[in-house]
Amino acid sequence: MIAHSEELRRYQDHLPGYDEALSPEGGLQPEWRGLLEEVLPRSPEERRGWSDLLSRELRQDGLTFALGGEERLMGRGDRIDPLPWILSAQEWKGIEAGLEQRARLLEAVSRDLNGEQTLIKRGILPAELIYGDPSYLRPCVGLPTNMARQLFMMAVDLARGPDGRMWVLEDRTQAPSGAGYALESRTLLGRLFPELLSRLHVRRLSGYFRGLRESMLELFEGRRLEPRVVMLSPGPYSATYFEHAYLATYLGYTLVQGDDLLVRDGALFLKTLEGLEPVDIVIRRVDAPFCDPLELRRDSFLGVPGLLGAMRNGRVACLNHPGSGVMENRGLQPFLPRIAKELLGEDLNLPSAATWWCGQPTERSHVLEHLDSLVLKPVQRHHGEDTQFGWLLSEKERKELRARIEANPQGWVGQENIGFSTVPLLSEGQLEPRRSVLRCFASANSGSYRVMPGGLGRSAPVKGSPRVSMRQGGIYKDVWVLGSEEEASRHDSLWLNTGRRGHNADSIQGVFTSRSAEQLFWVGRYAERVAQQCSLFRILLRVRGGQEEEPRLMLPMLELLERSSGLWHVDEEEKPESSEDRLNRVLHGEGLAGSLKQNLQMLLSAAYAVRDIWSQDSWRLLIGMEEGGTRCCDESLSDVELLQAVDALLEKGAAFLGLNLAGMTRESGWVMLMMGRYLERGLGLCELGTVLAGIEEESSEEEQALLDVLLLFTENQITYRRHYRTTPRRVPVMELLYVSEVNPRSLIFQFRELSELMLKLPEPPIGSLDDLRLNLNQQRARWLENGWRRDTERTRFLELIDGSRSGLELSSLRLSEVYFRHSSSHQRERF
Amino acid sequence: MSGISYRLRHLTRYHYSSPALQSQNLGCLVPRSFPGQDLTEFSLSISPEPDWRMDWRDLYGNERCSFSFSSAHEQLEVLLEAKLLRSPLPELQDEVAWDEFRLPGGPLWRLEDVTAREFVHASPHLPLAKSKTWSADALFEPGRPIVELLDALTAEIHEEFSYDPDATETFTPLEEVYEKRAGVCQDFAHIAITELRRHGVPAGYVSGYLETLPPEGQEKLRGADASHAWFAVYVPGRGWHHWDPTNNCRVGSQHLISAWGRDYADVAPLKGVLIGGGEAALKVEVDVEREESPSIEAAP
Repeated sequence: MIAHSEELRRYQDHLPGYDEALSPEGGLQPEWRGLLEEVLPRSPEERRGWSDLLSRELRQDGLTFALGGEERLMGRGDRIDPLPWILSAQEWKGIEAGLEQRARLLEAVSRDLNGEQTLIKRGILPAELIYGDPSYLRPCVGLPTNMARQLFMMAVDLARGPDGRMWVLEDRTQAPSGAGYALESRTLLGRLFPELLSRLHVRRLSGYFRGLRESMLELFEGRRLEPRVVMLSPGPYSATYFEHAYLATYLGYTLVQGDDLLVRDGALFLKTLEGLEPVDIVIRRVDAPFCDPLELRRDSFLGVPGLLGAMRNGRVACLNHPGSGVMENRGLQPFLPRIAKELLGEDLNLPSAATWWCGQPTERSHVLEHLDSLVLKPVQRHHGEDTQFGWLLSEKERKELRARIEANPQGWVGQENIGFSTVPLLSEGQLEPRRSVLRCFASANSGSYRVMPGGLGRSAPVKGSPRVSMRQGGIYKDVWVLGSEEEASRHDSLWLNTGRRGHNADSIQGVFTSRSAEQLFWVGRYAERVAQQCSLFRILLRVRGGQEEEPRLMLPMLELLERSSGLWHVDEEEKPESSEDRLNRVLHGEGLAGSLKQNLQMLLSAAYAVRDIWSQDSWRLLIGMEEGGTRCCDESLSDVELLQAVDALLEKGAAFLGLNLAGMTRESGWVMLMMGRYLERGLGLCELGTVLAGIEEESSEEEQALLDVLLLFTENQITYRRHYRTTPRRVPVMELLYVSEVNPRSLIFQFRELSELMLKLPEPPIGSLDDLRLNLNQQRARWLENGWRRDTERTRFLELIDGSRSGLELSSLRLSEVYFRHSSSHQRERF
Repeated sequence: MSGISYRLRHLTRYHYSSPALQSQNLGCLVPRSFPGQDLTEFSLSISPEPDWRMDWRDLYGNERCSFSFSSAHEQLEVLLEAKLLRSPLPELQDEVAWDEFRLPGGPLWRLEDVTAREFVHASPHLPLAKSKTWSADALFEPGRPIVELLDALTAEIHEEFSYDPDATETFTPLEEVYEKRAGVCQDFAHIAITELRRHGVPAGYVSGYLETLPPEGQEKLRGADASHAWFAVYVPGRGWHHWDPTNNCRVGSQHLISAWGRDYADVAPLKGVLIGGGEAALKVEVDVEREESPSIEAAP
């Protein structure tokens, strides 16, 4: 027995049943020894540090960032436990073989049910079980897969019973999720225990994903020699969007939503800035009923009209086959052993937990008689009812459940309570046993199926509870499969060798979907807008704090802030009276369009909608901006603290833009982001011009002070001093801000950059801004000649500003029309 | 060959108020063949010429046509012309009681009949909830012969519901039809199917046509016929049997069958998803012409 057995003894005292790490006799299971020898000597503080680190990293990587969605695999409140779930090489061999067989079996069942239906016609499966299932989709029967498999990817939930055997609880065949989380968990644990992973010969996951990529091409049966792949996601409001983005990035596929795709002439295309790009394989993460409004659910906006037609036409493969969702029917479980014999001629070697389908009279009576000891599940997920644990129900609840089952017996199964083994977990730095379920993954290869050597463990969030569902925050575990030294050291780079065709033909490289382009444009605009607001806040806070000498600067600066936030023209009655309230309103007006808080949210939404294109560092800076924004809105902050918070937010924002400026490839996406920035900066300068022209007392001290502050705001103070070596005066300031060709912060400079960027677009759409540049240059000549004469120049200048503003707004509009057209192209149904 | 020969012409025309930029369409117009109906000639022409077209057969054996346009078009015209040879459907010879094959558990069911069992479940348009305002429960007396039950059911629907084309639209929820007690052939078929399925009797939706006669002494007007719909019940070992609640009759040789499915949504004659198009003005013309002997007078 190793040291610190005191903690292990305490752990053992709390064991409710079979434990993964401790043998029934109390000894350590050999495969756990290496990990626990590492963990037990560490102090609770140090262990808590691991948990904190993981939570922080999770949040920063965006795993726990979600815009919405009710059911999610991972979200706020979820965490990854620092301790992995360990499986020995020997046991894994059995599980792996069982999963491989199960995947083959489900593939055979899927082919049968979406084809000849011999299982029903021969009476092996009750007709009611399948025909009553909303996931059994008639248009998909006989629909060609255009792929050597209907099930390309699948997942299985396993749990260990009190006898130490692994049992199958459920199968996932629709759009199995979790593989990306498994990958992320491993990446994070790799940062905690790099040395341990290699010492214990933990098998790597990369080979699984590399194999998946290669097999995808090998198994494609459509026409094109070099098929191209996209991953179809329901979008950022989906619970598993993070995983879609994560996997798409990892595998190098383009992440798309329904309206990025278009069926034309019986084939599928991706709408990009450059035009239509053909698509051959769709990795479908949209549930099948939603993937084609023409033939399936007519109310869906997540799919592609005509997708099924394109499949029928032999032009597109869709993974998994849209008919594969019916395999998730829990009522299938009791029939699988016989089906395995009939279709494969094999005994099922990884058994399902005993399951009784209530659509059969004998089985129903059994379930109703044993309500208090069974787990009761609706046959379909997502159809209103939840899983119930019979023994946890009150007498009244049990009676109600019985009535619901009797009213719709075909809709329910009873499943034996496996009990679930416990796995050690760190709670407040202490080892604690928690009941856990193991999700494993398999994907097709040319021979059969390959199984990911690992998986995703899910532990009950509450001690002693059997419920591992993730309603109130779940706990995930990395799964370590121990291998031989040789197995563990094999490092399969995803990219070293990309299969039979030599290069990465399957990913559509260098193209941006119109939707991504639009989001990037808005990322650019909002990032710039937030930066402007922050600079103004900083100045206003300094003015308020008396650090700047002129309190009278407050009003024009407030006006500028409100103008550039789009809050100047609001109803006078709604506008607060005191400067204090006006400032606060722009700072954290709850749900107020234009407030800093709202702009940050818009920035985050736009960025999250193209989560797949950000590097990890970019995303961390965005998360940092979100956190910074939250801090800025904390009303308990003193002015000094607030100033620091705004400073910090500005720095994060500058770093985010700087990082992208430096690191992004100069493709359409970058062009869009930069156009958004220049456009927004130009509009900001127009607002500033209006304020500037409104200052009454020329050459007064006030004017000088204001000009000084404006130079500060536009980050031109130093430049000005260097160029003019005078106190700020109107004409030189205006020359610098509006017509200087060399000042990157002048209006004319924004026009020039925009014009140049437009030329980089596939079809320059936007007239030109040359007229506006010409006007500005003429203005400059007049200023040099006449100086600023309020009576004539002011009107002319305001006209110029108005013209510039409309020019910029028009550019934005034209950009939308030409490149972001998808968003206005609402599809309609016609009967 | 015995039977009646018909010429069928079915024209569908959409005129868009602004050009439709793209569209994906799915038709279910070409009549199917089955014992009792031979499709001897047909053409399905689409104008303008679609950029892509694919004819195929669905799970239930109906003839389908997928087609699409990828450039702007201001109208869409789909014309079906067919020649059909129609012979009488078999009638139920014996007195089978409805509860001998009600699901689940009816003793008549054999493995050979198993695929018909899907027609007892809810389908996209028919949730099978019992209506708050009307039901045919009283008709389902134990041991009642199915023929008698169906005669009574169609008579009851014909009696209780009024024919009113303005009362409902294609996707009016069925509960609203129950409440209004009015609708068209599609609604009456849906009501009958719902009542039957709720009692465990498998019933399907049939789309087709019915030959009509002009008022006495007048010429039959071109395009005056209409597409029609009714329901069919599956009796194990004895196949499908059709009843027409709109006209309170059993389906005879004057009914031409186009397609069948679980409900209207499975066999909509022409549907599409399009971008642009503004308002779509629809015009439909149907002509059913018999090549010999007169037929009954009936409303579609």
